[in-house]
Amino acid sequence: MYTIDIDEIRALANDVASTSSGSNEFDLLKKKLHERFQVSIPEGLKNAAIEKFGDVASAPILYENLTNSILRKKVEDGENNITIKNPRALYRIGVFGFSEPINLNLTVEGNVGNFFGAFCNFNGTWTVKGHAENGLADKGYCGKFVIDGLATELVGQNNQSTNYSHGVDILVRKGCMERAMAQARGGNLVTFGAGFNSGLYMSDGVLMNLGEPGELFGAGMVGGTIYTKQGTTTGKGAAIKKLDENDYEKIKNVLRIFEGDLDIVNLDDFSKTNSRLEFTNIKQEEIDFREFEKIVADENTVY
Amino acid sequence: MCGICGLMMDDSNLRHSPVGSVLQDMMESQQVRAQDGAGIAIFDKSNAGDSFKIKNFRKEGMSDYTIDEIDSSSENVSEKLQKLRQDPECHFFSFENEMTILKETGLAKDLDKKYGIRKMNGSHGIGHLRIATSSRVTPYNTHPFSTTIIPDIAIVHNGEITNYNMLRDSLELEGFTFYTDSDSEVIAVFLASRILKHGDIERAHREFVAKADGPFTYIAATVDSIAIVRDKFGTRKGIIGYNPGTNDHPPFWAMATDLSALDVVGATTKIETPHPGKPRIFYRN
Repeated sequence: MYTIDIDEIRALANDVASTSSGSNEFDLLKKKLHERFQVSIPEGLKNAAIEKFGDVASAPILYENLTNSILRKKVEDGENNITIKNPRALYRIGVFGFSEPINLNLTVEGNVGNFFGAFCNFNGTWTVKGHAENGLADKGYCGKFVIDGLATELVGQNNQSTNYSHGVDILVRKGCMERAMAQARGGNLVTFGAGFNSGLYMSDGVLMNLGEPGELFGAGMVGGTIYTKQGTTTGKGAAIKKLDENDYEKIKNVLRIFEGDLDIVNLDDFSKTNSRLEFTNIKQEEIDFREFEKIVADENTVY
Repeated sequence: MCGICGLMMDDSNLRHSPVGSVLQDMMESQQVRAQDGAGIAIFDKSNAGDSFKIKNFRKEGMSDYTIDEIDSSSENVSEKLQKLRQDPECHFFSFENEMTILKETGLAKDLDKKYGIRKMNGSHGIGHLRIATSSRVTPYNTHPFSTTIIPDIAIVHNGEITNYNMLRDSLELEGFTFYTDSDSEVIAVFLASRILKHGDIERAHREFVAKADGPFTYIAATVDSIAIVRDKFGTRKGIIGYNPGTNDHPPFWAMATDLSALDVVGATTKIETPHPGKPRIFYRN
């Protein structure tokens, strides 16, 4: 188990900035960070930080770069349980670029910024004990995310299903904002609320909205399935249909991924004739899937 | 990827509220989005009176600007504005009574260092972080934008108004003057022109949404309102939250591009996204 406290890096960088002159600040910071974390910061970061943010120590891109470098090094060293503390909504955390799936359980204590886990390709669970901003798991290949708070726009955007990946599985406990699973080509999203235009241009995968009915779901979709409470409206290209036996099986399979996270107690018995599920998300609830409908591509739409 | 924010104190006593400090926190937390310019507009009822401030940029050398401030009484303000409109060298900054606009190229922390934003009080305000897309990095292209049509209107904007030229042409035909090349200025001029025409701010926002194309979210402030407005398809982010207040400050509504900006100022109850195309307006108590 390894913990990265980003406030520790901030304190170190501020200490270097307060005790060194502008010309040698970057070199000294680089040396200290290498001593402490055995990672290097690229030379190009110096100019980018100064040009954009006036100095190195206050530049968010320093902390993004360092956090990802430290995570990458720890994964290469064989660590597979890491906690990040005090992320303060840093953008682009967990963007690695490993060529093969990695094994990593990651817990983030706080909010994450845009594109958390973009291009992700891992086995394990990444948990955010806070909110997530735009593009959570954007273009992800595989992995499981549990977001305790809200997620803003484009959750699971471009979720990828390929010959070698099944897509990313995402649970958002307090709900997503606009265009969740936009252009998804695979994967599963379970959310307690989804904003306008969710499922936009979906071609595969499942969006399961367990919250209030949504608006303009599925515009331009050509594949995939959206399960949502009755009352949801669709965009052009999407059709609302009743659930059949196969849908109950599909819903069961998707919820199985988050069975432990949602404390679902009677999932084994779930079927069209036994359509109620008890679970605990923010609070204990019961959902009757007879109140649900599915949204799929409208085969009669001509583009 | 500009960052915008705003807040309206929910306080019927209109105590001196730390609007500047809250705005500054929200802007600094979104600094990663944009670094080319920063600006605020703050409304403080105690500034209201019979005199107006007309500010404009005056070029000094090749790249520096100073800000000219003309104090004017209500009797001669029209004459002074007319003179300004006829000056081809004028880079209009703001037309203020109760409102104060401050804006610069660069970072939010530098704006605060120069003007002491954190010490400013008021009832409501808006803030902007600019990343230049369609117009140059200059002080006069930074937000908030206001107009010479009426005082005390300011807008900040994230996105693009793609039919900006058409809207601008039509407003110029109606006789309204533009001072920059920014598409964002058209929002301020359009709203002011409609307030002048029918006096209904909500209708003005609805009319703008009906006419404007492109992906946008803007926050507009007038003396007694602040509104967050998204395009018809909701293609630019905008989030609202409520801070229930403490001993140090009254409750307030906050709005921003990033959710983290609301979190930083504790405005995380009643979180919502404004419905695409429908203005969400908060009025001063």
